[in-house]
Amino acid sequence: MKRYLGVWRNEPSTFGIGVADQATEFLSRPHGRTSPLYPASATGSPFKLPSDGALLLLVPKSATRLLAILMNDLGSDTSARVYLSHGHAAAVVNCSDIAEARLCIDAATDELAAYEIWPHRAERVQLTEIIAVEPISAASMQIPILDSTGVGADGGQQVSQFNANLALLQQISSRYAPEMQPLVEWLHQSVDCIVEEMRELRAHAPDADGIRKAVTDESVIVELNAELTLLCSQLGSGRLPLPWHGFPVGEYSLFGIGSMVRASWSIYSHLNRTFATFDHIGAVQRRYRALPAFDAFAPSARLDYSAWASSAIGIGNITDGRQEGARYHIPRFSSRWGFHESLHSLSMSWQCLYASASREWNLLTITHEFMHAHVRDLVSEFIDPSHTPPDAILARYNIRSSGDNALESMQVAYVEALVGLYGSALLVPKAADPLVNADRVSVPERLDGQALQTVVRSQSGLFQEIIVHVLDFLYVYDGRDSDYVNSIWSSWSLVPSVIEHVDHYVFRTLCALAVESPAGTSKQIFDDAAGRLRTQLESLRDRDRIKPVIHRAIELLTEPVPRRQLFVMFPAGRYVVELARHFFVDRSLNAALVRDDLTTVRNGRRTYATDVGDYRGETIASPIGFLLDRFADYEDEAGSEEAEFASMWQMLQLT
Amino acid sequence: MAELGVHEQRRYSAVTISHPALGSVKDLRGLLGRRIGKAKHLSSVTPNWTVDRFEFYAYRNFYPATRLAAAGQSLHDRERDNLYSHDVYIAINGEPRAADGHGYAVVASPYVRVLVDLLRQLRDALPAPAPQFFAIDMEGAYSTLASVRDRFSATKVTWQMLGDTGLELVSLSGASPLHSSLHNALRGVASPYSVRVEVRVSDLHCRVSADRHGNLWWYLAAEDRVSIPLTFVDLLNERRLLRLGRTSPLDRVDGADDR
Repeated sequence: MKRYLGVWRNEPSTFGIGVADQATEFLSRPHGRTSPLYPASATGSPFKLPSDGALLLLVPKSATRLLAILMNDLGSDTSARVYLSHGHAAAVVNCSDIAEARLCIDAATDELAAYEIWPHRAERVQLTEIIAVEPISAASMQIPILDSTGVGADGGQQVSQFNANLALLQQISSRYAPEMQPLVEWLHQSVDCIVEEMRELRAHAPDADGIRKAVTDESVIVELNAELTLLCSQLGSGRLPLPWHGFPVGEYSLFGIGSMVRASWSIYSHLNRTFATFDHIGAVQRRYRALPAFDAFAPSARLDYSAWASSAIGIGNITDGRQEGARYHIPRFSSRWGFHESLHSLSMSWQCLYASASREWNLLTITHEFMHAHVRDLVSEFIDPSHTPPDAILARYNIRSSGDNALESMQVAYVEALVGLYGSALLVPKAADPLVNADRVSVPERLDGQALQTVVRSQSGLFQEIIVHVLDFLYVYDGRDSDYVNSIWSSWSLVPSVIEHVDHYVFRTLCALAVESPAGTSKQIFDDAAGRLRTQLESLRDRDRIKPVIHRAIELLTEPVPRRQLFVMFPAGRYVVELARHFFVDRSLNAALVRDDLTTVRNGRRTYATDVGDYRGETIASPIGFLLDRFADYEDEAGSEEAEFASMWQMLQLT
Repeated sequence: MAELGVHEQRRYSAVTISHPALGSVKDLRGLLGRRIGKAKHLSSVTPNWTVDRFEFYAYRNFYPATRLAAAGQSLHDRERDNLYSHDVYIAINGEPRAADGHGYAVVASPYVRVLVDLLRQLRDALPAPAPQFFAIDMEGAYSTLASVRDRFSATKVTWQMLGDTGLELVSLSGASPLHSSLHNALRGVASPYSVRVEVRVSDLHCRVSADRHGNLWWYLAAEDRVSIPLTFVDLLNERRLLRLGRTSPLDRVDGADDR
């Protein structure tokens, strides 16, 4: 199905063009470039270059709408000669001559951003015969350059680099991905604020804290520059004029991966926009101090959470319709980082380019990384030392006071959660001792500053992980065990270090599943969640690549001592689950994330009722919902050409 | 020859299709040849629609024997060259839409598989571009029906629940579900999916249902009411609630029990 189109320079005025089964065929030739092409039709023939003709390279405004025209409106003879690429020239049509190319262009003109026509004869293209129409910039304004003075030599260098990187990103995105303009504007605003702060700090002879702050600010710009260069490289790959705007990744060196970056932006920006619309972080910031306190200590024994059920300060009840504006990550693909989130970037596994339609490399993993950013921001609203000194929180905690408002209550609830997790973790090695009572958790009477630091350092990561998992399970996976477990365990099981800490991953999954368990004691909920998890893991146990991890996970759930160890931690984890359920889950946000009028209901599930290889030209309103719908049909592992084609097809549906 | 009409008092399913080459039953015959049999022109309650009943030949018979017998026919009467005729209605709107200049037709049959077969044949026979179909802006339809009371009254609305584990479609039915507090409460967590409308034309009425994908269905008690659902399509068109797309509504029929 897949074949590589290659070009190479042989004379100043011509380049050679050919087709091969391997990428390496062309890369040893002078200026050799190559990229794979897939027939657009699921039953189409692999790409072949006729002895003469005209290759039409189409850069769409929207790939899904362009492909709908090419595959539906020009007749079956033409649609059989349409091929897909990962680059901005997402559609390549093998035309018999320039006249036919012009007919395709005329039919698709409303959906075209740019195109090139390569007339070829005997595997040669004359440079002077190439017909090219480049995209027009959609940018309505020039991004102003940031003043790099007054921030020191190194800082000034970084700001200068940032200005150049942002100008390049603006140049690329305004022509090839205008939907990314909000990212350009946000980056400019953010770094403008940072530079202003750096200037202020330097202007007033900073103390040690001030110097540290200035260095941190500079390091943020350093990181942004690093991420921007990656984004510019990936988004800018495959710009016109082809073939000389190459991409320095062998297998995609001709057409680049521009369309895949656009698709990833579509997924990310949908998530980001939805969360920004509801602005939970802002609502907490604006309103928590004025909202009534809740009893953070009523469930201290981890037995009865009914006091929280009647609280009116669940996040869905306190949003006030205000939006403070989204903040953005820079999305890009990376084989080094895989799926990873940092303050400024969101990385997706490079394997997603050709295997996103497999369970192992499915793109829903993006949501987990996104939730980390959301939860981190949420938690920082509770425990920002510049707003509430730790001593004040400690004083309230030690007298079991939930404080006078929701913020103070959440602060002590946070400490209570961490203390529970910490205490339970200490008990885990003793779990085999029948005298250890895991049904109730006792927490120390008083903490001092040192102890608070200890529990925060050791357990805040787990606290956030549990909330991330609960939100991911409910918001993205509709509370469905099979998709959730299959997705995250298919993905995790490929990470080499996971085998050393399978118990951690089992525990987090148990916490997530527990949010949909029937009400009951911690033991009952644990048994329910463990049973459900085991059922799902059993369905994965025969997959060769992930066998070791899955088998180990099942052992932990079934062997008496490891199971008891998990249970010892569980009541403490349940406290965090209940905190998430009652205070951080918003059903309206959930609805907004998956809302899409294209869906119907089949077999009790929401679905787009679309098959791989359909080209309907529909705008997918919920990329997350679309990927979840696709998940059931994914192959388990990467490697098959069908999975590669499905990966390409689904990404192009999102642009 | 005796009238071969086999109008059935039962549920009919319909879709709205648009293509430049589909302007009349004669066009249909030109496209589908021997798959189209006799046609009969019917009267319409709305002057802008031309309504015909025609025979469409499918590869198997869908009529129950009792139905044929009630019409005084046998399977043999409906068979020709191993194809079996079924009565299908087509209503063609003579006025191209102001929104996009397209003409359109509503095609209805009591058997969804007959409709699927017919649409597949049409798609293969029609010259490029491929035919398109009308979906419905259901949120807009709810708003419109909430304010329009004379000839149209919504007696059932169905919402698609979003993000509620184990719950997909919820229906509210009664004299005016669009004005209920429960209807308002669902807005934030659900999406409008379908509607059932009582349509009255003079002293004739018909209960028409429509989903947001463009599937229409109604119970046809008597043939003289076959054009009543068209007045609902006209309402949707006037209010710009019809959206052209490439997806056949039949691809997205939901799996709810009452379908």
